[in-house]
Amino acid sequence: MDLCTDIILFMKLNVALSVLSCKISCTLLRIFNKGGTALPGKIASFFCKDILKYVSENVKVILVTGTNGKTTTCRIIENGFILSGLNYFSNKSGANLLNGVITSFCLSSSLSGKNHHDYAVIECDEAALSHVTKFIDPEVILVTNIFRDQLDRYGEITNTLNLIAKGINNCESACICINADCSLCTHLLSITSKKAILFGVDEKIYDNLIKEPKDALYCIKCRYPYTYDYITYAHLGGFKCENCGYQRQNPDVHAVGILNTDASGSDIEIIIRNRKYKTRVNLPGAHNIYNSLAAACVMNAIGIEDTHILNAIGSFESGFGRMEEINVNGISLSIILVKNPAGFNQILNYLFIVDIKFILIIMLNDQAADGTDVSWIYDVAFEKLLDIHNKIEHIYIGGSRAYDMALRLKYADIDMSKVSIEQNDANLVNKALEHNIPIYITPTYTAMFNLRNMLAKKYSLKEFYE
Amino acid sequence: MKKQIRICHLYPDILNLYGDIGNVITLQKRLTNRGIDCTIDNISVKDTLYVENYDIFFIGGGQDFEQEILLEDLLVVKKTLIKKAIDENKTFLAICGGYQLLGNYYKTWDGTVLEFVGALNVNTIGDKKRMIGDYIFTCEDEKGCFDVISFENHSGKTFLSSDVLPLGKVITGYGNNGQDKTEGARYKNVFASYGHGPLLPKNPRLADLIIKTSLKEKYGTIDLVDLNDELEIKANNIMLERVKFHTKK
Ligand SMILES: [Zn+2]
Repeated sequence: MDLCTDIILFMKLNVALSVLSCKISCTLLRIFNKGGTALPGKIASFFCKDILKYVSENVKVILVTGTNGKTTTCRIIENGFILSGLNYFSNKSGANLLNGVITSFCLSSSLSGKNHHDYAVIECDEAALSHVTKFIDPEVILVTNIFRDQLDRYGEITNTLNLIAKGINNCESACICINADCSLCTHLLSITSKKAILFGVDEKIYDNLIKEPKDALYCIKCRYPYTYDYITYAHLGGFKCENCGYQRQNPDVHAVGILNTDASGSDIEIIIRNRKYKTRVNLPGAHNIYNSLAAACVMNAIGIEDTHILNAIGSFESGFGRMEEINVNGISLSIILVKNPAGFNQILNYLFIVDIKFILIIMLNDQAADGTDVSWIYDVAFEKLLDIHNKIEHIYIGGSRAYDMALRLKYADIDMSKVSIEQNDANLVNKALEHNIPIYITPTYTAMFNLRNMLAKKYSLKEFYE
Repeated sequence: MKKQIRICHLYPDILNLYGDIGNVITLQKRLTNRGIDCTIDNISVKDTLYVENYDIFFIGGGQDFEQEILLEDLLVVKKTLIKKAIDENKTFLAICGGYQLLGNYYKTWDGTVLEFVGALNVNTIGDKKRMIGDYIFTCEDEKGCFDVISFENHSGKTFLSSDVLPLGKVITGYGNNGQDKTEGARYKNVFASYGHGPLLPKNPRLADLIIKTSLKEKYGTIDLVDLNDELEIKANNIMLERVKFHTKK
């Protein structure tokens, strides 16, 4: 044997060991009922440090990043893949850092490192993007939006922007899909000098919009205040800088008309590259119109037919805490994950259009995945709950920072006789169920996991597991 | 005659990092709940500032990008007005970035010096390492010492000159610089702290200390009725216990 075949053999052995160790550690973790997705990826890199490069070869990868809406958008894209019969795999939202992505790829590879899927739909944390694109050359990178998020983890918003730009710049030929209405997102195009396909909404969505602190009031290029033709929510909309001319560009995939938006979804007129359709977005709220458009943009980029794109949006059923509706003893329980002010304010906008009496449960945790700094609750416009206090029968508060949350409501002038704190999740849900009316639960990330586990055990909701 | 405290929120659209508004809301509620009128004016870039129209000034923290937006307005137009207000014993609450801005300068870790307002004789030196986490410091009012719990998140290390007192003494965490156990600053009627975001909601004694300072300055007398602070104290104590326990381990 010559040296060359020796090296090839050695590399193959490394890859095999790496993939095998990942698969075995995953199985072991599952046996011992430990969910972890990062450790197996870490072990895999120990045996072969660029394992991700091998196991992603020949796979067309879609990377989805941005502050809010990553998971929902991935699931809508997957729905389109299923409808068009494409062979793909995806990662779970809990596995969106480098090691989690490695785990997902190794699990869907053979020991030789060959991946048998044509496509991968991969959710990727903003800070992890540049690490992932060191090894993967994706077909598409989607940036959903950029908002102020967990300051203790991501730092300043311009920092997030630079991290995403770095990730994009690692890629040779990827098609970039970007939110045209987000002045921070489209700035990425000038700092990466990449061409992009844009998606956006051409008019306002809500008549009464929550007043919230804006993450991008001043021009990212020259620091002059933006003027807006319209705002859809937060800082998204038809922005323009009168000083340097930086402004929203016309999108390629866009909602031209919001015909109706109610508690279960929205009817929109959508244009996909000059072809106009009417469709239902089967998820409520402005943010889900954006998620649907983002998914449509990606599907269009990889050549999925328009009919499948429209079906993917119209037939989508949510899951995994993103406006997930389950039924407990005949009572509807909607779980909506909250991570940051922009997301929570969107839920308040949504609660305004709910036309029934309901119970609100807020669960605030402060572990690393939730953000250890809970200051952000003061940037959520809870004062607006006063306008819909007739619809809210009672508010229950849980989680490790329940008292901070209750205090926030007190200082928002909420009638505190309608607010109860209950730090035991099971008791919390029990008390809420006693009212016998629909329940909306807004947990932070780790609170959602605890809640799901409790619900699965207590009400044996098997199908509730992913 | 009904008493009235007029709050000026400086640069609220720009310096609004992570829930700073919670402090203004807290001051307002704790005043109105005691039958004292409270008005809030937002004064930002290009707005004219009449310092005589206000009793309490609040200035919060911002991101670097945002602070650059207001620097010209602050240093060219409002600097002398803010100094005048402080000299005339107006009450100030400055948080995090706002605290740094009131100082003499900020020296970045690569040596660039940014001249600031110079109303407080303190200097800030940037560091690569962030000082971040829940922290506790003690403060003093007329009844004695009390514990303040908050969250800090800053990379600037602030050092006080001898004419400026600290707001408190660090029990756990970093405070001004992670070295001398001081936290924040007290000068005339200025209160400054690294307690980022909503410092006041669950530290009602500190909130009332600020309110009393402004009332004494304006009316010469202070008589504040007690409020029902059960929830505030519970929220405070839970975090105190947790952070103290965590530090002991
Ligand atoms: Zn501009």
